[in-house]
Amino acid sequence: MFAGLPGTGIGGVFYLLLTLWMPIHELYLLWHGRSSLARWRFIAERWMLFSAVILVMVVQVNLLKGYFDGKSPTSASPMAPVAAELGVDPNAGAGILLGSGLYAGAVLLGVILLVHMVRLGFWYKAYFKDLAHDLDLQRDWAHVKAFASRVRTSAAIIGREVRVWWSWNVWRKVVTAR
Amino acid sequence: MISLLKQPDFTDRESDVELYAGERAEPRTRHQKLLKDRPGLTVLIPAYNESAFVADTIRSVQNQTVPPARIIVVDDCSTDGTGDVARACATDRIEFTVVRPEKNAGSKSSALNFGMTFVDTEYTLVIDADTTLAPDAIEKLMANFDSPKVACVTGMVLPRHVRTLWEKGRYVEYLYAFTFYKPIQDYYGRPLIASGCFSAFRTSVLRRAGGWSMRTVGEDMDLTWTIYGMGYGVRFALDAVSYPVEPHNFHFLHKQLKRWSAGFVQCVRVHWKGALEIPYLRSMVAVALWDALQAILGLFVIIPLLAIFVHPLFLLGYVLDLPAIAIPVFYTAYRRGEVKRALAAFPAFWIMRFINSVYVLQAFWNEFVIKKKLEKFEKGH
Repeated sequence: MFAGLPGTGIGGVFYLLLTLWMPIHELYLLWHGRSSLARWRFIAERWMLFSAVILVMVVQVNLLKGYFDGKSPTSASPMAPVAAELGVDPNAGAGILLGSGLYAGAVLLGVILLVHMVRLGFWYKAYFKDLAHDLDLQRDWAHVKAFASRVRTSAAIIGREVRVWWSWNVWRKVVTAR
Repeated sequence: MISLLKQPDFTDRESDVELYAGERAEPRTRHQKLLKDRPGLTVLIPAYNESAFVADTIRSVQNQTVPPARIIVVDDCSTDGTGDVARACATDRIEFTVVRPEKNAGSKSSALNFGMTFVDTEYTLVIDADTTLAPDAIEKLMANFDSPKVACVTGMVLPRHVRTLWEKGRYVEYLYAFTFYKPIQDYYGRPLIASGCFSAFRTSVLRRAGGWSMRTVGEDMDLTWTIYGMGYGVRFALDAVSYPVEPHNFHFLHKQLKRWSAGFVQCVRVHWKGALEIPYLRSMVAVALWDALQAILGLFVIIPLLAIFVHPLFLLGYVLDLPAIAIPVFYTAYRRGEVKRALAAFPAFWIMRFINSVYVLQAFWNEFVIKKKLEKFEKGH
């Protein structure tokens, strides 16, 4: 990725995939009027490098296969069984390439999925936090208590008024009776 | 007064300027009149005991096709006369200032933040005191500020000397990283780092970001990710070339790699929540982390075990990817007319891979497992 950081080639595969994606991305930009000839030239240069890298890998694997034919016990790729399942000889150049490519692709997909899962985790956490806030029983209990207090106060006032009114009526009746 | 221990507050900048204006070569107003047709750019050069290199650096800035308005050298209390060497380089053509804090700032970030208080131009360019520039580097770099959303532009970096094993390894690393990874990162608008040795910033954004953070030892990466978090963009100029002096022996390489590896891990720790919301950056960081971890595991555990217990042919795993790496390296070397140099240097890249892995493993262990954070800033040469 940058100087000082080691890599295995998985990072390189990620950037090769990004190179593959460039024309599609550029078509999107073209549609929105943000593309330019210089950018297409840059993509052409990247695609040239991309093709050269793939070509070198194919040549390398075929050379190795030719040299070690009959000596190599099995493909070094952890995904070689998958290649075999797909009907490709895991020890053949194409098999090694396919196996390695599948492995790198699986790792990349895993990493990117993991990133999105972590993001989803954050969203859910935030969502549940909101939900917990909405369902905050302590806060609601405080509201209930405040409401009850208001009800009690109101009832007390009304009760007092009723008592006053009743007392007044009683007193009035007594006075009238006299 | 500026605190050298805490992150400075740039809101009270004018008072700071008054306080430290003692060593300014000439009045600023006169130069502002002279330089009205030049781009509003200040070149900031932090220097600590760089008397052997700083003169070359200053001259390379003075001889640019588009010279800056002002050069500020921050002499961080050097003991080798760096300030005097720098002052001797002053010319009438460009406003030139040497500033010196009251005591050694302790890190490049602190020295840069101190120097920032003197910057009054729209753009600030930072170069290391041991870094020379190609004659058109500033012109090519500044051409990339083509949108108000671009807050930072970083340039291409290549070692000035390619003599020792370590310089050769770094030369190939730079050729590979700057011509294969970084242009692709730039295409998607997310260069992973604006190199600390040669990057230009919009001063206003830099101030709003709080300058260079002291929370990590990877201040350049930290600032880059902070800028992304603020919603601004960073660009990479492949044709703007700078030449820093790289570690020539293992003593200095050790210090540099220790700082770089810890800086990366610290930046991931500080920014990971924010980075998750930045498209492409999150994938690049995740892949870089995973790839580094897998490289450590592969180089030191899986390949040796397979070679010992299964078949010695698995040792080929150490070199299988080198031809693919060679393509972008030699393509760039050919364009620069340096194929022989690249050929001679290529084996050193293989050795550097093991050394890098050791330091990244150490950084993961220290920062993530035993929580022993690297805080001391040590120079890489």
